[in-house]
Amino acid sequence: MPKLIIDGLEVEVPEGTNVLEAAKKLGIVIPHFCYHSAMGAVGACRLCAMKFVEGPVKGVQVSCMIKAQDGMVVETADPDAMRARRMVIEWLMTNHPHDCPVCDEGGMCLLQDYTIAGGHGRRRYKGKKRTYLSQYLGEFIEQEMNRCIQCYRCHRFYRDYAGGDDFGTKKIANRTFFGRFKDGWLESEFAGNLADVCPTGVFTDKTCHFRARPWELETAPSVCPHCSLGCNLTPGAKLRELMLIKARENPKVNGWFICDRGRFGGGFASRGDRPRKFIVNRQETNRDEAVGAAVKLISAAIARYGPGSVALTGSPRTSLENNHVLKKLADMLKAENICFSTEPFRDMKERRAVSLLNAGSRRSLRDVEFSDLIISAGADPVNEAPMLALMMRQAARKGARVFVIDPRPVRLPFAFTHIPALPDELAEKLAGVLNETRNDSKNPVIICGTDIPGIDAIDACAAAAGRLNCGLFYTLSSANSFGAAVLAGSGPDFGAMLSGMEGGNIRVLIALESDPLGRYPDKERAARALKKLDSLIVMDYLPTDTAKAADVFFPAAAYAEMDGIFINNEGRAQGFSRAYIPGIPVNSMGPGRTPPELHPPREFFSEVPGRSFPAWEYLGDIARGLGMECNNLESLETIRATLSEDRRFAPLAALHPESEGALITAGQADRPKAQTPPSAGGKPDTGEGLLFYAVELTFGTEEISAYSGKTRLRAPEPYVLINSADAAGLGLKDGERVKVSSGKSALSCVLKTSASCAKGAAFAPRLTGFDAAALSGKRVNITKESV
Amino acid sequence: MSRSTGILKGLFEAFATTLREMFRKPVTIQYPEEKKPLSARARWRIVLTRDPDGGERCVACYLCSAVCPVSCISMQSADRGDGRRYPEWFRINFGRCILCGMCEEACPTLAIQLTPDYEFCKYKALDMVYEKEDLLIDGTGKDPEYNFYKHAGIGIVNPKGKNPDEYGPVDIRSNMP
Repeated sequence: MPKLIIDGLEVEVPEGTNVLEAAKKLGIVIPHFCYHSAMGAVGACRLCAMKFVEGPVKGVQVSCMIKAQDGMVVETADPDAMRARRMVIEWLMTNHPHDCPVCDEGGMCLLQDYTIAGGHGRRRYKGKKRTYLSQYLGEFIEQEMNRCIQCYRCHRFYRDYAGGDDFGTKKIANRTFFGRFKDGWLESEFAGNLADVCPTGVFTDKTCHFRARPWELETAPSVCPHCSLGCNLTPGAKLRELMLIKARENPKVNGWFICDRGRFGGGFASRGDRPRKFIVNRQETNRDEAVGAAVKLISAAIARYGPGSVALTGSPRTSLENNHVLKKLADMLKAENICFSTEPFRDMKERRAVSLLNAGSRRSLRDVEFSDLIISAGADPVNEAPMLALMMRQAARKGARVFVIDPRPVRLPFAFTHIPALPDELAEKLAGVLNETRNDSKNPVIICGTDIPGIDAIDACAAAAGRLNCGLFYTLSSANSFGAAVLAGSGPDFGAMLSGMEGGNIRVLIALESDPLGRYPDKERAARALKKLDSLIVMDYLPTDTAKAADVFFPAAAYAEMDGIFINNEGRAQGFSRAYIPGIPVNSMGPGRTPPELHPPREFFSEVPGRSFPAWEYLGDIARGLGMECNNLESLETIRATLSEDRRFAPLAALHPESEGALITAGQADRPKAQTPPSAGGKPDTGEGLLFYAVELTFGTEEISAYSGKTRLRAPEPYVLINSADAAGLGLKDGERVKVSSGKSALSCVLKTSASCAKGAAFAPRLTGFDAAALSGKRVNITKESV
Repeated sequence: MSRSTGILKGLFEAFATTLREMFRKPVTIQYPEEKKPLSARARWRIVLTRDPDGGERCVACYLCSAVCPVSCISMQSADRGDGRRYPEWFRINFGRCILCGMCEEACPTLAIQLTPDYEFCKYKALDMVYEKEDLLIDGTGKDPEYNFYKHAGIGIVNPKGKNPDEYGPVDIRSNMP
């Protein structure tokens, strides 16, 4: 490890570190634009000049291009180096339009900061400025090319790091242009990171276009709720409206970046139709009345039918604390009907997967980047866990071999071997690939989905990982699927609870941020069963079907609006903090004076209007209302203390929001048995027709972001995807409208065909308003739709 | 000096002063019938001005609200639809304003200006809260020629590359210089 002296301070850095990074380690930050820790140095901006006094290199040098070596003595504040930096920044600014007042980057702009830090404050150049016409890059990213300083960060991120091919560099010298060949949406699922990597305002977040300055935003360290990977991010809210979401660095999880679903999926929190009122029997009321009503309904049901008549459903998308308090409430009521997911088949598979992960085999998201052999079985990374695809690409760039065993024509931003196989054949193909490749790999990882593979494939992946000493990485459905699965253990699934409702044994359902009417695959059965209930108590922040049907409704706080913990697919518990107090956004309150729709109101409120609270507060109120002894549910600290009493959750004691997280192991004690068939969904039918699977997409299928208007824009029209040969056999053509039917249920959509799709299977996304889940796991017939 | 002469002196001096002042011209001004001329740099009520073309000068950049030491300015920026940034609403609470003029100094588009109008007392505190329609005037105020968009190259008033200090847009489909 080379040792060098920077500004009189000695520092030792790993081999290969550049001098700029070494100075950063000492806390000396020298202005730089093109260098980025994730993308390396190219020496394009020439700004990070330092004076090398002693050692192998001498003179004023661009420090990002020089590797730290023994014996170097570097001065950052040498007059020659300062002069070089001042002149470089002055050149970089000659063409800048000076439109900071109307630029969204203003206030968080590296160019602003480093222009001043570089010593350039007054424009001397009197010549004309170069201009560009900007392009329309879709509704996520706004481009204003005049502001460009040609640092090449966008090109290096988009093409090299993220593997996009529809964006790049044109022209030369100071006329260099970064954009697409023609106007249109950026196709990469990671395009949003351009707003973060661009050091100036060329690429800015269009969802927050002209809406806020960074100094007005209320921010807090947080964790993404939109998939199971738990990428770290910083949500920013202004006047109670969630506006800007930025990536936050976590070297163990997402590195520096996040996907577009996480970045642009925040619209659900400020939706106009977000439920913000306490409702009892369709009447608006206040918190105390709602708690009172819930208490009355629960105690009446228990008095009349016993504790078995109350069922509770938690949620894989809510915090660990909320689910834990729900479980405590169930324990106090002695109610045994509690589950944490309303999709039984997925729930059982996830519980199984979670119990199979152990300290030796599990890999973090970032570990995937450093493996040399990646075998993915039954997972579609770009669609199920987008950032996983980005990490796999980094591994592939370093030379890793990637095999994807999946019936879908999986698309990834790099070259890989696709082995089409039906879910039943996954285990067999996995064994085949491992036989051929395991021996010449040092650090292999097996990635397994939990959506379309069966329990046998999930078991086979864990068994292979154990036997052959490979890493294991499951993708789950939601941000806290792991936590929900650990709490659920070997408890009943939602199908069993539906049977209880149908049989009249369950009279009250408490649905915590869960949506049985919208998410249970057989919607008609769920609707029939829930109608038989005496009362439905719902706590949520989304306008779900279940929320609309509630007898007692409590408006809950969303992830950026409360403190909590999510446990990601690896078992990494990560804390998130409250960024803002939830309530009706000031901008949608009106009316003040003319024009009334625009002004915020002119009266004062002593309380936040339309305030929602974290669901654990309501659950605690209900427990108290029922006369339970529950002092330990009063604050988040006491709740976490009771949570840590469970041996598995003991690592949570050391958790704080800006750490890398604490690892939780589920343990095998209450692993659901492989033989236990889930009470619904189970094995696919045998018979004629194509095997149908409902699948995830990057945009439009995930439960929370499906309520965000901006991500909905990138959701496709409903379609069904089959193999081209199958389509030819059925006499169907790509692009035709078809009817997908099984028994009584049928779907109407567009047909897509692909040669790399497995034969004998059909796939359709779980889009809002398109009930693909109803047919999942069934044999379907696809026929041309008669007009 | 004895004590009694001291008392007498004080008495006579006081009467003499009163007598003298009776024949002086009074300094009291009969406000509001009479008004004192303000100094040239007097600055009071804040207005939002328009550019010479009649467009709203304010681009809702938040610099005035950021610099305001008493936080009396608030606004919401938005896109007018054609890429021009403007305040959806703009509110100054004059009940709190200390007329320091820092907003005017910070304003990059010369939109916010302090005027010599000091007569805007109100009976109710809430009436001191001025909305955009109360603040926006029809003229340019100081600097009658200035238009921010003619200097910032983002193509709102003039198309891109058509401002006096700009070259025409780069043709990205050609490699000629």
